[in-house]
Amino acid sequence: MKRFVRVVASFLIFSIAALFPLGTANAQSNALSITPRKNYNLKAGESVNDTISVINLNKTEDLVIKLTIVDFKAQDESGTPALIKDPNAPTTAWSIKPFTTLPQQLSIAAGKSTQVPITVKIPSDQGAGSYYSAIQYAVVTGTGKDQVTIAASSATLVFVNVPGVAREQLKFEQFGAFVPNKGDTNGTFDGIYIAHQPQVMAYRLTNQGNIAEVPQGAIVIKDMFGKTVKTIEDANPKKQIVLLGQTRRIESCINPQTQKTEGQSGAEVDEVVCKDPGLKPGRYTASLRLLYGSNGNETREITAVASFWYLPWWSIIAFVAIVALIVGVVYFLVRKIRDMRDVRGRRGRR
Amino acid sequence: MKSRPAHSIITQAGRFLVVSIFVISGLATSFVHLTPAFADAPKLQHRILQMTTQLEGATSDYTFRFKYQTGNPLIGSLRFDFCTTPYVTETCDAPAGIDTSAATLTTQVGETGFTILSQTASEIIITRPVLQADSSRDITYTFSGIVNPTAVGQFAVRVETYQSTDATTLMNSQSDFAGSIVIAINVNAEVPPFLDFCVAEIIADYCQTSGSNFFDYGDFSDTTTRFSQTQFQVATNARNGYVVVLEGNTLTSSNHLIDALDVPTASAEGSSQFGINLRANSTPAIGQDETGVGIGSINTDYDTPDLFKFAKGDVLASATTGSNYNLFTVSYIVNVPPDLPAGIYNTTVTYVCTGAF
Repeated sequence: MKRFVRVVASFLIFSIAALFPLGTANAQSNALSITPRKNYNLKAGESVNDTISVINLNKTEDLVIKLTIVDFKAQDESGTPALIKDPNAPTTAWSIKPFTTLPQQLSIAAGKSTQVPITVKIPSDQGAGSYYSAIQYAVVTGTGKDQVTIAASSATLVFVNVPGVAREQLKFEQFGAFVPNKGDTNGTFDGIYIAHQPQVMAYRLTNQGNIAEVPQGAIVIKDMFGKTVKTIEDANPKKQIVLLGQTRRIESCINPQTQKTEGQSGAEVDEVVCKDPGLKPGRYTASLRLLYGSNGNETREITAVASFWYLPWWSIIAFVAIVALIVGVVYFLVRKIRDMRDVRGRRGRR
Repeated sequence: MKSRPAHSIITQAGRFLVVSIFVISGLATSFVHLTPAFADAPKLQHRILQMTTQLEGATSDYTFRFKYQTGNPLIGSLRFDFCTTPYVTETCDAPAGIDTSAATLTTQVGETGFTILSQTASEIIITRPVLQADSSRDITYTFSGIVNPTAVGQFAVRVETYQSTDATTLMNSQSDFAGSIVIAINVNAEVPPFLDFCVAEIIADYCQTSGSNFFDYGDFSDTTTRFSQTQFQVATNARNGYVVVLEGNTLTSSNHLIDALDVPTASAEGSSQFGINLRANSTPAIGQDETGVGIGSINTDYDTPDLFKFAKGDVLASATTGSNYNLFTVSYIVNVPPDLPAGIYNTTVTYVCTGAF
């Protein structure tokens, strides 16, 4: 009898082990699709119940994610968010952590999606301004005995604007033709372009107020004869945000070209690349005018002027050749005139 | 007969140089002065635009508050022009959906007595007999029944004041008021934004299938570089693009660690090194260059074959606008010194992908 029980027990253990393997190594999806950004406009005392879509892109493995609200700030002058993941870090002045509730963990079946409920409730005594944090989705990959575990993580940036009388102040820093580096993390404002045409105009602003600003405006580029050669109708085409305390560089292509492609899900993807604006050699002057000011607050404006030269090598060589020719001709004529005077003078003395 | 002294070559060159400098300076100076400075007309002071609703396409009251420009100007009419851009551009393009044709002037405070002279879908002109405005007085004009633009974002209301009563001559100020339209909460945008991201040893079919989330180097050796590779794939239609940031630490065992390479460095056997890059390498032969139809690019520090780095918080790859799929291959190298204490060394490397703002 004991032997029979042992056999049955062993069979059950093996069966269970086969059905539910120990550990979760190699059995978790590390692929997700999220909404990258949410914007809310909520008055003090108002709340919103919304949902954020999360899709498990993996068609064969389930996805388990941990959700946390983390604060963020600007990593640099670009729009890269630096997530503040230290749990002991003090809550930022602009955090929406105290106002936001959402589930802590989710499980999404292979190839399926879910709507994550999110509630943002603004206290009735909350002052006007911009508040923002990120909802981080950290994939739970399970544990393995291997040396390196890799995990995907993504985040939705959540911006809440509480309307009212706020302190709005952008300080102008710099404006000009700009050459971004690879990846656009930085770059240089150049005044002379020789090897290539300038493709980007950029300006830098520092936010000294308590509203995250999205300045609007336009840029007009004129040649050295005062003729408008390019108009950038939208000086902030990507609606880039200047976060609180951030010095932000905002760039506009002088001649943007949009390539429309279709993503895997069928959604349209607009890829914008900056092309040569077709400038002729010479000096150009760019005028920038920006407006900012939220509803019910004073409209403020920033104006700036910058100039740059576009001088390809061939134009420099041609210019030098022309100047040399002019100088040569003038010099030749002067010598001729002087020689003629010398001859007349000698004749007169005779 | 007195012969004329020969010109020395130094004198000739010097004269040529002086004349050249004068010619070039003259040309450059003339270019500079040909470009007029950016001139501004007088402006209304302390301008505020208050909309009762900022929702796209909604009917709203627009209240303009300001003080007239300094100098107590003579005012006979005002033109309110709704445009996509402020005054820097010569033309005014009306924002899509704006409709002021049924607007009525419902409130006047300060300098009063105005009536609507004419109005179109994007322009209103108000008029009254000419008055000398008090520049220190708070002014309020409210128009009711304006249909908001339908495009989410900013627009400008250009306001011009005239001494004439029909807004045609004797303009004495030009100013902009900033307006903005917001999307209603819980209303789906036309193209829902997405950010697709996946990580695995091997990725196929646009993240739909993937390999393991773990890998092993086997036993470390002070005479041989250990290496491996994983992949990540990204796509987004967010107009600000994305960034992929490196998180995690180097390989550790108890309180022993293998040094993370904090600057791009070549692999050196016998050293303590843990690093990655995103290129096809020859020493060791590992990795693959970026593929895909997207416009994502690799950060410079991780973009040189055979140079490796591992710095927590570094941006590995990014796109500055929407970008279709790109597949990036991450190569990992490990070198250990002869005196590395024995133990099981492991780590978790997290790739954090977010939209830019």
